[in-house]
Amino acid sequence: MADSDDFAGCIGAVLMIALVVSAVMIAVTTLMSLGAVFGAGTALHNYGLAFANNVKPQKVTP
Amino acid sequence: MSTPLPEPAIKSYFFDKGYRDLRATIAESWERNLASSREHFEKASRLFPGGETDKAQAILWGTAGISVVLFGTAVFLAASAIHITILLTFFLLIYLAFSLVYLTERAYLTWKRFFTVCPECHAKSRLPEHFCPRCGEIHRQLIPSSYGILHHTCQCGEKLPATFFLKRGLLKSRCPDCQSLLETGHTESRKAFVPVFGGPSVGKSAFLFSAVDQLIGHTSRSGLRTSFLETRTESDLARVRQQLSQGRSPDKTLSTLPRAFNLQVHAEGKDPRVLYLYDPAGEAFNDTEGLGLHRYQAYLSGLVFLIDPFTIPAVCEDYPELESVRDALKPSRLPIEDALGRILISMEEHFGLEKGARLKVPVAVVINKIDAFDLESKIGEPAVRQRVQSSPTPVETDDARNDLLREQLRRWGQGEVVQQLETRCARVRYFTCSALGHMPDGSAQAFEARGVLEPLLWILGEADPVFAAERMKAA
Repeated sequence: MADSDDFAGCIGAVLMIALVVSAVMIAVTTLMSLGAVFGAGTALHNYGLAFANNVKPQKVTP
Repeated sequence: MSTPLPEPAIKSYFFDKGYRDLRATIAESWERNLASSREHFEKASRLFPGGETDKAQAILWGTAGISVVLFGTAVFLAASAIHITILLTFFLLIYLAFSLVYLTERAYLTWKRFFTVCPECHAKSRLPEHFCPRCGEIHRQLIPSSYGILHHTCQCGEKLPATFFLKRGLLKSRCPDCQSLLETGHTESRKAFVPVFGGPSVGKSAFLFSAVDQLIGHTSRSGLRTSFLETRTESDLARVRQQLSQGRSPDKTLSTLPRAFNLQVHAEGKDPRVLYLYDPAGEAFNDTEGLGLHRYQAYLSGLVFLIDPFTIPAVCEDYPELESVRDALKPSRLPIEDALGRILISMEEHFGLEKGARLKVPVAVVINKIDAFDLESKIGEPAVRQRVQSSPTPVETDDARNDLLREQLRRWGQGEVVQQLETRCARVRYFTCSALGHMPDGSAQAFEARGVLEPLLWILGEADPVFAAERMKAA
């Protein structure tokens, strides 16, 4: 009886650890995805700003 | 090969600035990405030693920092590709558009036979240099190009028409070779180029001005309208007219390389015609080298070869009384064969006439000064009429005149000149004239030229159908 209790406790602990690790991994992946999206947005924004700053019709000097 | 000078105009965005803008955009976006990335990494490194929330944020910023570099590169590569595609598409469209307009213009002008000829240096070119009407800058290539399809924008902001179809010719222009100012007629007109050649004192100036004067009178009677391109030409003609009306010969031409005398002729419903008439000083024929500078020989419509009969020894022997009027008659001293030989050598050496080949343009051989002694009755129109009447077979007046004058020149010992004219010139016709009308006798009796219009009209008629009709009317 005691053996089977130990085994169940062991499985529970493993499941618990797996759950925690999974949760941490999901959290990290989510954070990384958010970071990636944010980074991509920043890059796009940067290109937009650079475009607006540089692409202008030539001015005439009266 | 010389590098073309840049135009003082603003180049099309898609040919110049667009690519500078693209480069600057890529450089700036890359700088911004690096700065953003650096900022995100700094935030991450500040937050990471903290609690779990800080660590989570550090992961977020760290990933964002990497993403900015990775996605930033991808974004600017993609955006640059789109940017370049747009630039190249417009580049191609504009290139096609201006090439099409330019080729259409060139074809139209070639069909019209319009090109630019400077009356001063005689350079022939496709296009003059144009002045900006606002700032006076010189636009050397005001054609549909990367500076604009239909207009060029000067650096001062003025829009200039860049094609014939938009009246580019109304802009002030100058010769690309010598920078002399040009008029619209020097470019946008059909042209005829006729020099009056002959040794010193054969009467070239009197011939030219009298012929122009008579041409103006003749065209006005037949419904054509003449005008001058430059006031200078008009005043030159007025001055010579006055001299002739007072019984004074025109002043001696000093310039061996003459400026063209331009006369514009307008025919109803036709393009304007501009005559370029040249009166070089007779001294130009003293050697062949000087004649090489007479660049108009490269595009002649015909030439008047003026002969002073008193250059011929046989004529001088026929008229011993010549000595008493020598000062008034001013016989030319350059033998006819020398003048003709130098013209032909100059054509061969400088203007592409092959050795021994025939000159294709019409050559009017005109014997001047027939008012002297009895030359008029001997070789003038009365003699031609008599020859026509006495001919057993019907003969055209022009042919009779040709035969009469050819024979007379041979009788005077000028067989070689006739031979050379016949073998070296494909179309020769002989005429007689009196460019003054009577011998200069010191009196104030007005000079009235005879027979000067016909040779000019014959050459012009051979060159241009408008003048061929005029010649028929005159005949």
